[in-house]
Amino acid sequence: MLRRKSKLTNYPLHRPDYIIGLLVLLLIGVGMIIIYSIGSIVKFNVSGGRLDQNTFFTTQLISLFLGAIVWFIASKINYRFWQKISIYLAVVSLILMLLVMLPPLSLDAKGATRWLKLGPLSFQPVEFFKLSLIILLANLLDKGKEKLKSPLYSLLPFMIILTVIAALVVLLQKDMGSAMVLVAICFSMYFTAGTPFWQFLGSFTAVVAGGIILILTEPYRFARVNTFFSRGQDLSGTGYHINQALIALGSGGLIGRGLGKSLQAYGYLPESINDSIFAIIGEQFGLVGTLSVIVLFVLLIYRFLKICLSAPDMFSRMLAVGITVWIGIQTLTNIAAMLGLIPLTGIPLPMISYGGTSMIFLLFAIGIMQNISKYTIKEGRYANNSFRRGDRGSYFAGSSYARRVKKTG
Amino acid sequence: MPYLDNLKFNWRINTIFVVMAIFLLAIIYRLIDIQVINSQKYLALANSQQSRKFEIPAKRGEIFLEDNGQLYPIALNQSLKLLYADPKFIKDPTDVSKKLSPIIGIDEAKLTEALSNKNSRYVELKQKISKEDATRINALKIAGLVLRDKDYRYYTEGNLYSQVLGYVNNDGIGQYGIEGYLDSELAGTPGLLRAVTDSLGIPINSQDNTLLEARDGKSYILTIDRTVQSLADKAIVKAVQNNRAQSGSMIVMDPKTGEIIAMANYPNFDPNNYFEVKDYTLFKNSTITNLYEPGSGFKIFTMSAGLDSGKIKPETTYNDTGSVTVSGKTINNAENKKYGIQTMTDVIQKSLNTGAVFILQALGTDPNKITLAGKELLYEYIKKFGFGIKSGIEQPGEPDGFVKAPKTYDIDYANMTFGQGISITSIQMIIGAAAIANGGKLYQPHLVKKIVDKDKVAVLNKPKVIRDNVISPQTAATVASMMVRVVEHGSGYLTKTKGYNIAGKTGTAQVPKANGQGYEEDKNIGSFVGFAPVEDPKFIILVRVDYPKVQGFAEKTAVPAFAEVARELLKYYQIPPSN
Repeated sequence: MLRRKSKLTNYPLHRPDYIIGLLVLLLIGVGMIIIYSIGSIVKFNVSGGRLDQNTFFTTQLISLFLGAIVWFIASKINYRFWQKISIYLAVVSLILMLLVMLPPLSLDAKGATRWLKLGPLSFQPVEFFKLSLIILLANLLDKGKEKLKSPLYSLLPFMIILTVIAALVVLLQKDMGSAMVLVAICFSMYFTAGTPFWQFLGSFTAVVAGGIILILTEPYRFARVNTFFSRGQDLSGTGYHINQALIALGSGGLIGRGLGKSLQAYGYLPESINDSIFAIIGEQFGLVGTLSVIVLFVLLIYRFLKICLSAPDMFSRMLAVGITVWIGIQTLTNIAAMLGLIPLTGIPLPMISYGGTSMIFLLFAIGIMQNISKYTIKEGRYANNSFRRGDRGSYFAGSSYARRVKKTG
Repeated sequence: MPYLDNLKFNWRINTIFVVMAIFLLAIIYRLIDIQVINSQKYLALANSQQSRKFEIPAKRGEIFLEDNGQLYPIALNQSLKLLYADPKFIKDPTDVSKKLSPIIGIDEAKLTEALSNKNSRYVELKQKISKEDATRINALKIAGLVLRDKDYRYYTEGNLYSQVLGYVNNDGIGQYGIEGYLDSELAGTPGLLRAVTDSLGIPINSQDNTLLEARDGKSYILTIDRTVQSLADKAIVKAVQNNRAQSGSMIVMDPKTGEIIAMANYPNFDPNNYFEVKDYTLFKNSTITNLYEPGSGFKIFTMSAGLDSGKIKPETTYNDTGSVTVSGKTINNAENKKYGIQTMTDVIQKSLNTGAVFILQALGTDPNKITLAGKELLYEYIKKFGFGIKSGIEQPGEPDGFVKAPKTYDIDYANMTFGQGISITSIQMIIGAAAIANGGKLYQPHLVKKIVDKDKVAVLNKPKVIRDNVISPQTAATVASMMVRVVEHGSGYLTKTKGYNIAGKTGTAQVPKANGQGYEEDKNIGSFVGFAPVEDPKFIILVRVDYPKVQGFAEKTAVPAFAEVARELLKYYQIPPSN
């Protein structure tokens, strides 16, 4: 077993994982191309037949610019800074979540209030909430890592957080999709932190039961689930969306209709550049396109997994797991819903879907991951080797470790 | 070390990734299923919702007259709007009716009722909405009201050309007249656009769209002269009214080309408001569709046959005893008159039935009785003059008419010589008479002078000769001169015009009973066919006055109308007096 300094230094051990950056840029590129190619069509439909400029593309470009700044800053700030301010972040995000209910600031869209309106800007607090919750949970699990066997330190705060999610996200904002992602993140973090099985199973049962109650008590949620189980029967209402997504994907075939040749974007497929963008990728680029996007996500998650497994401490490990599961589950849920594998929940495809808030906070999270990647520690056979020259070690997380550690070892 | 203790939970991290990997495998399996295995099914679904066929309407050809080289439209297209409602989108029918009623002039209660019919998706509210009204309706901004462009036919002269033109019905299909006869030519061929559309059904510009251009209908320039048509129309209206007749008609034709210069019927209708017509027979152009027995007017053809075959001469005489018996049946002259020894010229001038029967006998092998050879020869001439077959004029519903075959009874043929027991149309009568006027040529009567096709070049519709030598020019001239005597000294005296030689022949035909047994007691058809000037005929006119209530023969009913028009035409064509 490798001996390690008990107090880790703030000095980076090696270079951040640039592969992550490359993959993220590729995914963003795919999204921007799709938004560019069909944005004007979607705009045409939205504005009621008025051929406008492709404002979706320019708006997304601005979001991307802001996101890039956030990404850069987050990758430079030591991840432990977030632990220090985790409580404040959580409080601020909670307040923002509640502000949505304040009429002058709320923006009602499709029967749900999920947006904050500040002049010309609109903001989706749930994206910030996701990140701050991950940081808060990571902090709690780090602080209580030695007392996790005691329900007072693990189960109780966990159940409180789940209740808050249920109350805020599901009941107030009617955002079942985000709630599912949040619950998945929480469970994954608690599970990987090493909580006892009985606690895990117990809380899992409670959440499933709660989820079923929430579905049964809300007609529109029930309708969606019902549509899912009676697929192909109701093609006008809730079944319409999923059916149109399947037509888009299926008509794309193996290689697709070609860039900018989407027809489903002409008002057939709802949310063409948002939640349904994966179906548009399938229509324009076929199976080749959809699998390529999936491969990019798989590679990204694989890089994240490396960081999770070699994170230097409990906080960063939990943070990494949270962020990885966030992006991973959100991707899987979005795609699976488009394929009719699970009920539609209305969550965007990370980095690709149109939407500023989501983009900015995802890039924020990716910045944090890249920052953590600078401190990863490699276990096992190559622990004492550095197969890369230079003081900062490898560009690849987990593939090398710093000379500094070797010297002390 | 506390943190390293946690490292033993790395398997838990891996577990989460394994779960996500299984989820991913399901996704990839489903993706291949949708995008490869069942791709065709979804592609078919996509095509069925994204593709639509659009019919591109062809513009209907218009109908013109030529007036001193200028085109004068008589049937044109007006681009107006059709207003209909989709009651599904009408939220408050009462309110909508209140706003709409003053614009379209439909009763509010009726409108409310129509708009409240939620079962229907299409309720036609009003046709022919002007641009101004359309703007006002649009300004109301009522969802569920739709204004659609529609071409409406507009007839500039209203009643004047009614039966000749016909009309275009609400479905855009030409009915009766030129509109009906040339409907497919006028209508053109609609184009077809197969296009991908957005979800609202609006076509999207795409390379995959295929367009078959619409071919606009042909336009037609008619042979009718506006001025002459007005004259004819006025004259026939007057003739019908003065004689309290049921109806009347007049055709003016150029005997040397077959061009119809005027064709008027009375009563008539306004094709702009064709839907107000209750009696559908009014739509028919009686000069083309109505079969009648011509009566004495037909004697000119019997005479032509006799003279042209050389069996008789104008000076040939016979003894008119006032009647002649054929197969035990007696044929009398009109009003039972007796004239004694008469020439052939007298037969026409005095319109002697016995003389006409004499010609039939002369045509055969035995001048004292009717023989098969005589009947066959007469039949041949009748056919040559164009009877018993459609003239081919551009009007629908033209019958062949009926000429009895030579093998039929002698009495039937005897009757036929003076126009009984033969059914003809007015157009057949006028072209037959025109053959006498022009020296023996049977022209196809026609209404279309020029055809304007897509390339906008007017193609001249040349006069067509059906038969070149119906009778010899000498025979024609002889019969014509006999007809001049009708005007100078006979039944056509009312049209006698100083300085001009006008030829004509009256006919007062009896009307066979519907059951075929004998003739109606108090019904007759008075007709007069005449042309002028005889030396070089410029026009030929046929007047028909059906079922006049006033007592008298054609000389009282039809001749005045002829005289009125003929005199005007002599002036109109600036024909110098010949004597």
